[in-house]
Amino acid sequence: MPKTLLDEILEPGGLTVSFQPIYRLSGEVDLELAMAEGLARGPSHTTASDAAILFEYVRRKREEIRVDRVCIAAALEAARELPVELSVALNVHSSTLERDVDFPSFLEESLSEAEISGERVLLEIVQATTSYDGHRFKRALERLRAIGVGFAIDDFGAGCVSCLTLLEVRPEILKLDRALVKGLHRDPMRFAIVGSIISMAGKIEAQVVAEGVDHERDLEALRELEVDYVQGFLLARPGPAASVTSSRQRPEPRAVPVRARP
Amino acid sequence: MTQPSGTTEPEAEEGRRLLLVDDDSSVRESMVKFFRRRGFIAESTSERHEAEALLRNRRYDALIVDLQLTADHGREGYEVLSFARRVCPGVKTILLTAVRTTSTDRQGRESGADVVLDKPQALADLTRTVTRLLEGRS
Repeated sequence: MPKTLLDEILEPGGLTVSFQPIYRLSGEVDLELAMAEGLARGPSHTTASDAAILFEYVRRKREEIRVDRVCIAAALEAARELPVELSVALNVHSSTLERDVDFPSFLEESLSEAEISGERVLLEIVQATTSYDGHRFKRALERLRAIGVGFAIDDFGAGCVSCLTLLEVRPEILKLDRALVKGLHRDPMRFAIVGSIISMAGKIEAQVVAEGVDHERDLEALRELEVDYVQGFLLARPGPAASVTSSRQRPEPRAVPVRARP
Repeated sequence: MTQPSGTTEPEAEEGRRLLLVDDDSSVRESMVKFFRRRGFIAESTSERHEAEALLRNRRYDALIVDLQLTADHGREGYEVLSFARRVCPGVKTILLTAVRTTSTDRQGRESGADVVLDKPQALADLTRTVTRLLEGRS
């Protein structure tokens, strides 16, 4: 039986993980390093080396649970080399939280093995489908919150994310989809929409990360809108954990604790 | 697949993007090599789900898909064609099948195939069919 792409992804060493820095834009120090997002890529000789292909393929095969686990284990292992003060953002599908009832235990064990505390972890929830079992999903969130993990809604403003997701997750962070950020400086409607999301986030006590910041003028527009955090090629490309401190800005890293909820 | 002797080489197709879907690695490799030598940007996969991920995320001008991608199912080529028709309606499509009948021709066309061809198919002939489709000739 020839190897499938999934076999290659799941093989030991099949995935590589890089980290992209996330900077605080609205703090006392301009562009202060705050978090690092772990980004998994498939084997370099396959089409899954392109993250979009990797995760589309995994979702089509309905293998999010197995692949999310392998990605997270690999990311946590690699995250050992990050400065201990930084928060670590990891992606997980909402379908994994719903269907993988042992995921909270798995994460707790993985964190223990990597000697990383739950309080340092921000789980970015990727919602690729609109239907899910709300009860099981919420139960998973509760168990994860109990170990100190915080939550972000990934790709906010695009795809399948609805406002009901906000009500269920009560996230600490909204990650603005890059499609909204690109060209922000020259599109008044985009500027108005992003401004409204930032305003809404403030009212629900969430902070906003703008992804896909690739141009200086978009960064300036985000500064004008007082977005909390920025992430993008303009500031730093993804790289090995050890490179995270050598990105565009080199301030003393400071912890950005994910706000605990009662 | 081999080229019949005495046929004229088709014209090069600079930069045209082609996706080849076939579970036979030797067929896949020879097709990719052949099309790349003629200026196509050719990518390939053996799996339906990888083909669908590629079709959703990358732009292709033409899709060549084998009907039978797995031994147990045997008709996944139709599903790839239907997906391509939904997600990238402009892509030109060719269905290859070693078990061609009036039924495979009908189902292939209903699934979105522009052309249904016997397999094996001489690569030079296949290239001519692709070129003809890309030029908008029926």
